[in-house]
Amino acid sequence: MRAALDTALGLARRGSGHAALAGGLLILAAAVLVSVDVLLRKLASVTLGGADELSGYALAIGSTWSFAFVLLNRGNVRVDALYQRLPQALAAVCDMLAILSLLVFVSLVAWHGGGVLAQSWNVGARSNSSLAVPLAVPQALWWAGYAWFVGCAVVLLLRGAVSFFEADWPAVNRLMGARSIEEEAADELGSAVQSLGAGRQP
Amino acid sequence: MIATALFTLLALMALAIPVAAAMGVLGLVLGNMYAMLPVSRVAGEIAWTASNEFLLVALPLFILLGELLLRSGLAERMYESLARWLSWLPGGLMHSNIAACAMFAATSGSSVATAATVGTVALPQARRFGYNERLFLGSLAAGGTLGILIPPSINMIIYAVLTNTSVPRLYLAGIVPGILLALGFMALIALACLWRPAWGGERITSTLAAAFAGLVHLLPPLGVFLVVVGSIYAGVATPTEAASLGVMAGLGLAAWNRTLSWPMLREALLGTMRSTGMIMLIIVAAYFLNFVMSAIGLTTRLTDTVQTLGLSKWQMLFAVIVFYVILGCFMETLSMMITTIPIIAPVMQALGFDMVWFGIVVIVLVETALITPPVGLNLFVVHNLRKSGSMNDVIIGALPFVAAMFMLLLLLALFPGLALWLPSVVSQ
Repeated sequence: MRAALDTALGLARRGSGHAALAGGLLILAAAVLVSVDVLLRKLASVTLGGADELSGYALAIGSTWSFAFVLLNRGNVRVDALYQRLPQALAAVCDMLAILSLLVFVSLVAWHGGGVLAQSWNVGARSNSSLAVPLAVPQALWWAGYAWFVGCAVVLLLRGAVSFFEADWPAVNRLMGARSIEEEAADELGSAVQSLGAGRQP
Repeated sequence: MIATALFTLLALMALAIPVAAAMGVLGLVLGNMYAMLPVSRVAGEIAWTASNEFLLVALPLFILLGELLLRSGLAERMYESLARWLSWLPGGLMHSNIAACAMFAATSGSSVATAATVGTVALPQARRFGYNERLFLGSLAAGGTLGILIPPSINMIIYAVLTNTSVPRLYLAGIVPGILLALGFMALIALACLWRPAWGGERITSTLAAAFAGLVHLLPPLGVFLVVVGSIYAGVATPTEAASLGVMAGLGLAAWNRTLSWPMLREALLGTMRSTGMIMLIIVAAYFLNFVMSAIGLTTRLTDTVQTLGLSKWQMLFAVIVFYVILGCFMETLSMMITTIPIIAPVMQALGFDMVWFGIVVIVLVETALITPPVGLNLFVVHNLRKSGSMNDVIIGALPFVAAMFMLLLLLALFPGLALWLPSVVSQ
């Protein structure tokens, strides 16, 4: 059970990393598309049209594809004023509640989001623009992010529950504890310091 | 109804439930208790429409621009050339800290990125030249906060989306207060170092020729600023389009500095998506909660309740400032804005405050939240850079700068024109 969950969690982490990176590339593609659109419009008076619509889809898809990445990297913002002062066991209870409540809310959004997708599919809805994009396409990709998140959250919750019932509080914290502000700051700096090293190379 | 909502929200937050989940669950609870029709069904529709809004696309783009600039090696040379111009002032390099932060702020929309970038370059100098460390650290933490006041600004985009305010007007409104605040910081440093000359460290000398030669290194940040902010006012681009052009400029700059590589881009993209995913989930939850609140009439009831309190305009403003200062001690700043602005802004609007002006006030309050303990993220960024010593040094060093921010708030209240003059001139 435990080994299976560890394998599943490893897969979830890898998949979520790839998904987030793909989301990032989508955003980058949106930036390129929008820039080309602006430049053509201003310099050559040519309008591509639809760059705004497509970049909107990139945002919708990119953000849901990064939800699981944020979850597994403990990136969701939590108010930890009280939490930090709790004994480890109680903090672990909070961690379980935290994942559970995320799971409840996001599952609900995913469920009804699925309804939105199903309806677009059934009536063959197209966007109200010159592109007339079949809405089911971007919505399916968007919805896939929610579905993946729900799957990852279930795996994380189960794996956390194993450690929780073994009373292994440090493990619960590593899996799903709130990141301390020190960790947040260290993360920001990690990249800045790296860049300093990189900048010095010829 | 108000008491139930408030109590549920506080309980969820106190349990360290993630902000997005806390708002979502609160929406579900309120919907179940008070709504005539099941409200949760609209959650899907809201999630879709909220997350493909074109203006919001600017958010990941500005985050990406910050991530790129942070890694582009732009800050080092800029800092050096600013130091040549400013280090004769009492307080020496600390003025370059502020100026470099202000300049970086004009290319980046994030305060934390600004403090991290300039701090990394500047901090090694503090010990080398014998500066008073507390004040030096404080100048970096505080200077970094300029990132969100001087355009571009990620927080202003969030504010604009939540209140239907114009981003270009907000950006214009931030310029004068941003420059004023930077000058205020510098005046404060100069006064402190006139009073205690030992705090100012060794004098660094530079020739005028070298100073002029160094000006070249100010061109890249100036260029990014012109591309991102200039294109908006030249009427060429919307904020999202400007952000796209900025990302292209950031990529070009990194390529020019030979810092652009696949691992660098990969890190920048992952960093961007980590912030974007976190913020977008909160935005979806906030839109859902706001929908439920207005569907069950809670929003109107809240506004009515505040009005029956009979507070005058200025009393209310004072209350809001106190509220944000306290809340800023406990909450990450973007989630603080997303949770509170939809409720507070309409009240302020009903009292006759200009929404652009109030936006600037909120941004300055967010800046104070970034450098006040216990969760001022900029304090921790600067503290971590230092790797030794007590956190208290940074906190104490940043305190005088908090005073400067409150001075700015007072000035904004007395002379709203500080924020509103520039937008009014340009729009004519």
